[in-house]
Order: sequence, then structure tokens, then C-alpha cells
Amino acid sequence: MLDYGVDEDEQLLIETTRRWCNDLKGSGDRTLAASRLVEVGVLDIRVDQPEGAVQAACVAREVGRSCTPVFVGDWVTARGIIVEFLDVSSSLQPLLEDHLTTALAGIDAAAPRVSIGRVLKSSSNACSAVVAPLGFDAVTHLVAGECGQWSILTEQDVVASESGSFDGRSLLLSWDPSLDETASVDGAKWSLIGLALQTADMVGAAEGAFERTKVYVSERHQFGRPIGSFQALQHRLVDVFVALEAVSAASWFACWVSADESRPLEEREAIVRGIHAYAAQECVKALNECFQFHGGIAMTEELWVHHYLRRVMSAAVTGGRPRQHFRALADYLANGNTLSA
Amino acid sequence: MRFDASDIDSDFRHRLREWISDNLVPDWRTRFSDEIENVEFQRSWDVALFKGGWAGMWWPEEFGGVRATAAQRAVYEEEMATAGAPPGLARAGRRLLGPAIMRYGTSEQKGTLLPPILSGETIWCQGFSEPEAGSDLANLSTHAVVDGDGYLVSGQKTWTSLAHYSDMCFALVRTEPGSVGRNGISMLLIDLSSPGVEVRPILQITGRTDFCEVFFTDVRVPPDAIVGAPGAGWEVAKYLLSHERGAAMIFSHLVRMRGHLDQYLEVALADPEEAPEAAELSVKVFCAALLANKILSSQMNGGEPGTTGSIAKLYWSETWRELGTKAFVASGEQLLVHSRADGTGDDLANLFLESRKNTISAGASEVQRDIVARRVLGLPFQKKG
Repeated sequence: MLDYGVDEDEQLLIETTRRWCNDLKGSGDRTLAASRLVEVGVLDIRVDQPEGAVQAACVAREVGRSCTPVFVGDWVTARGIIVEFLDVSSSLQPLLEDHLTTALAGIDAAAPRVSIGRVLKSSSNACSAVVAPLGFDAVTHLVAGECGQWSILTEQDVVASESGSFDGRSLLLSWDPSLDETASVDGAKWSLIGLALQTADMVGAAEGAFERTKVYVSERHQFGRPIGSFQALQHRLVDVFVALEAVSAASWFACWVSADESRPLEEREAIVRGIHAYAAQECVKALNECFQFHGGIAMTEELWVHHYLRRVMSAAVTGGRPRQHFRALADYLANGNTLSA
Repeated sequence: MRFDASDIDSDFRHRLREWISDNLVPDWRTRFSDEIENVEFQRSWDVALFKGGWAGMWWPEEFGGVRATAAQRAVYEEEMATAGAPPGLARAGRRLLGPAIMRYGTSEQKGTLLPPILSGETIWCQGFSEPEAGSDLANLSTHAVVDGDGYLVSGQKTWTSLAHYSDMCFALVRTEPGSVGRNGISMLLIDLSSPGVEVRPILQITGRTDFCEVFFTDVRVPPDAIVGAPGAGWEVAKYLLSHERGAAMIFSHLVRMRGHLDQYLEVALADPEEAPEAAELSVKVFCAALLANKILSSQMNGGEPGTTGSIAKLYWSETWRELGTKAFVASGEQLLVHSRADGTGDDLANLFLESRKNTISAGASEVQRDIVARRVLGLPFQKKG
């Protein structure tokens, strides 16, 4: 039997993160949000241990729940890569020590910024990636390729940056792959941990949107009564809630498994990718319902719901579309494997 | 949270597994295919469970039980289902009525009724649903009038599981004339061998007769054959039903559902078009197991079984029905043609039929949604009228 009981450390992380996120009151100040979360001790979590991955998920869930404009999964994954990379000899080591660790560990406003992202497309002499800076002025980038390899790019490597397209979360940049230095770290491992934490963030965001929608339908009156008292809406709300309960249970498990090296990588990938894909579908459905229950006001900029919708939709396609994940999982199952706890 | 599947009850699991291996007749389904032989076998299994010390899984020690933890109960369900053990006939008494008597019964009832329930000597059935009181259980109309020293009961119950093999029935009956809704209902204990009782088995689409209609015509019931105070039957029933929705019970369904999934995957993974959908369904079935574990954890930490159980039931039963439909479609039109499926075997046709009932039995999905909406989400409700 699996133990879903929240221990004291996890509870403390959840409560502290919730408090910090609430203090921000949706200010949108990423630097402030980042520094607050560093105070929580997020970067000290050993995310490549199962217990640590679950602890990081406690933070990611709360950050997602409040739609705070930072992505804990990106941070802790980048931090883990750097720590691992420092163990190997590389010409980039001084840079990493001086640059990345300072930036990630301190979130010092004056320190050079790091971004983390994913290759979108590549040709024979150029790659294009979407990256999420921890600050707009990022000068060093960790980029995960499709095969789980991580590249570390400096300012000199980047040949084009579409900074004009920066939307507050990410921007596109291009580089010549012959110039980059590939990190000799276990890319697949870190990609998987990052994906599991992305799932946690996404589920948290969907849960946060649902909680706020539940309040709205209890307060909004039409036809002389709260709209949440109509059974037609209640049953749809329950279906959303139950699906989120299921993907929530799965998401915690996925985070643990992502860092559980007692399981073969193939099994970890099957579980984490499968859960991410399914959770993505259910979270998108949940947001569609939350959107619908608000009626016309959901289409306005001033209402909060579109922020959650954007966050969930972005997370849902991270690391591939659900059908791609399911296809990979089908191959795994076809080889006689099963999903088991 | 820990997900390393460290089984704190591994000794318990090992002991149970060994006992099953020593006591279960593996080919009981085929060996006792005749109805009379099957009933005898089910009764003997109930007795074997008692003698082996497993009958009191749901009971505290003071009443002869073993005070099993929620996790041990889940292990019990999982192992029994994995071994394909028979359900027995004593389940309603042991799992539902027994705990209700412990809580609401008199000292005399505890002394006289509980021992034969535990030993499997007395078989009980649950007389709740009526033709006009299904999901709206409080609309029941079976009634009892005081007649000298006792009650005279008249009315009809339906969907009464195993009534044709039972000795006694715990029934919800309206004992206050003119009462409506949840008021004025009592839980009476009715001897099914009494004059005026007629039991008619209902033929199901599976060809089996697991349920019955039970007719009462001026059936005499002694005055002390009542659980709880007169008119307080609804409270007793609510308590009793919370045991039907506990997390542990889910684990036997999960074993059956996984077996169904495995057979579907054999067909679907060979088809490139179907394979991604099959993978998605695999994740859903896996999520049902994870959700059951989460709810079990919550119940072990004091969570209320009725409401959290509703969440789990909604998810696993709807998922299983979806699986049944997809497996049917993937298997093609021949699945049910000339089938002898009776809803209990392990082939796809049987599993398809089995998958249909769970969104209806033990509280239909619509009722579960109402429970979750009201008691878990706290959504506003408009009073009738």
C-alpha cells in the first residue's frame, strides 16, 4: 500500500509556500516571487531523491495553485543539472560555478540570469528553442534536446534571440549547434524529473482554478439562486473534481517515481510520461469547465481565469503532445510491461 | 508521502496468501457449477473463513473480530480477488449489519445475533430498495403497523441480493403512519421463513439470478426485532452504508478491472490506431488504483469513509465502464454472440457484463455525484418546494 500521508516537512513546505504566494497577491513580479521561494529553501531540496522530488512537488503544486509567475520545476531541475555538472571536468565549469550557481542559488537581481528551455526544432546548422528565463536578461541557457541531452549555451552561442516576442514567460532563441557544449549529465533523468514537476505545477494550477470557480458558482446568482445549486452544474463540477483527485494522486506518485532510480529508466519514463499526458488532458478539461462556468466575464482580461488557462495549456504540451506520450507508453506496454506501483 | 510500496502489512499478506492456497479449491467455478452445489460451496467457504480467523476482518476483538487496519482490509480484498476466491453468502451480515448492531443494537441483540453472523450460520440480506424507491431510497413505502405484541409488515423490496439463499433480512420499513421522507423509518429484522414472505429471483442479462424481489404480506415481526430506536432507521442505514463505500472494498474491483484491462490490451496494442487509446486507458486504470491508495491513506488518518469512498467509486466504476465499452468495440461484434457469459468468468464477454453494473449498484453515479457535491464540495442546495 502507498502512503499518501503528508509528513511534517512536506506540510511545512506547503504552508510556507502558500503563505509566500499569497503575500505576492498576484503582483506578477517574478524577481520578488523567485527570491521569496528561495527563502523557502526550494533550491536546497535534493530533487534527484524520491523524497526530495515529492518535497519539490509540494512547492510546485502550491506555486501552480496560486498561478505565481515562476516555475519551480525549471529551477530545481536546472540546479540539479548544475550540481551534477560540477562533478565533471569541463571548460564551462568556471562559468557554472561563478555564474549559474550564483544566479540560481541567490536570485540576486544583479547576477547574470539563467534560463531553461527545450529545443523546438533543429536543422543541420541551427537549433531553435523556447526558453523560460528566470529574468528577462538571461545570458546563459540550459536547453533540453529531444533525446534528453542538455546543452549549455552562453551569450556567444546564441545567434538570434527573438526578444521582441518575450511574453513574460518565455522567448525563442536560435544557435548553431556546432558551437554549443553538451553537458555530460544524465539528461534523460533530469528531463523526467522536470516533467514530473511540471505535471505537479499543472495539477496545482487546475486545482487552484477549480477552487476559485467553486467559490464563484456559490456566489453568482441567476434565476434567483446560486448557479452552483443547479444540479446540471453540480454534476459537472463533481466530474472535474473527481478527475483532478485522480490526477493529483497520480502526480504525487509520478514525482516520486521520476527520481526513484531503483526502477529502470524505461519504467520511470513510461509512468511519468503516461501520467503527464493523462493529467494534461484532465487539467485542460478542468480549465475549459472553469472558463465555461464563469460565462462571458471569462473572456475579459481583468478576470483571473485566463492566466490559469494559459499556464495549464502551456504545461499540457510541454515535452510533447499527449498522444505522443501515449504512443510511447503503448510501445512500452506492448513489450509485456505493465504500470505498477 | 512514501511510494516505495513498502508493505507494512507484508506478514499479514503472506499469512493470508498461504491460507488461501491451503484452503481454496482452485477450480470451484467449474466443479460446483450446479446451483445447489454452488450454494453449498459458498456456505462452506463462509464457514472456512470463520474457522481460519478471517471472518471478523471488519469487527473489533470484543465481538470476535481481529480489528484489522484499513490497509489490512485492502490487502484482504486484493488477495481474495487475485486468488479468485468465492464471495460467500455471509458478506451482508458480516460487513453491513454486524457493525450496525455493534453500534445501535441492544445488549441482547449483540449477544444473540452477532455470533451466528460471524460464524456464517445465519445468512442475511439487505432489504432497502423498492420499485418506487431506488436512488430515492427515502421514498420507500413498505410499512409496518403495531399489532398486539409486534409488527405486521407489508410491502415489496427489490434488488435484494441473495435473498433466495438468505435466512433473514434487515429491512427499512415505514413504522410511523403518515410519515414521509427520512422520518418514521425503522430497521426491522425479518425472518424470511415467516408466513407471508415470498421471494422471487430476478433473471439478469447475464443469465444469473443474484437479486430478488421480496414480497411481504402481513408478515409478523417480534417487537424486539428492530435495530436502533423506532423511527431512527435512516440514521442506522446511513451508518451501515458507509461500510459499503469504504476504500478497502475497492481493491477487489481493481483486481478484476486490471484483469479486464490486460485482455483489452492484448487486442488493442496490436492495432496501431487503437494503441494510444489503450495506453491512455491503462493510465486511467492505474490512476484508479492510486486514487484508492490515496483515499485509503486518508481513511487511515481519520477521513470519513462514506464521502471519500464516493469519490473513488465514481472514478473506478466510470473508468471500468469505459474500459468495458472500448474492449467490446476492439474485440468486434462476435464478443457477445452465442456467448454463455454469466458475468462472473474471466473472459472478455463476462468482464464486459460485469463492468456495466458498477455505476448503478451500491449507489448510482448520479447519487454519488450528489453526495460529493453536497458533502465534499459544499455546493449550495436549493430546498424542494
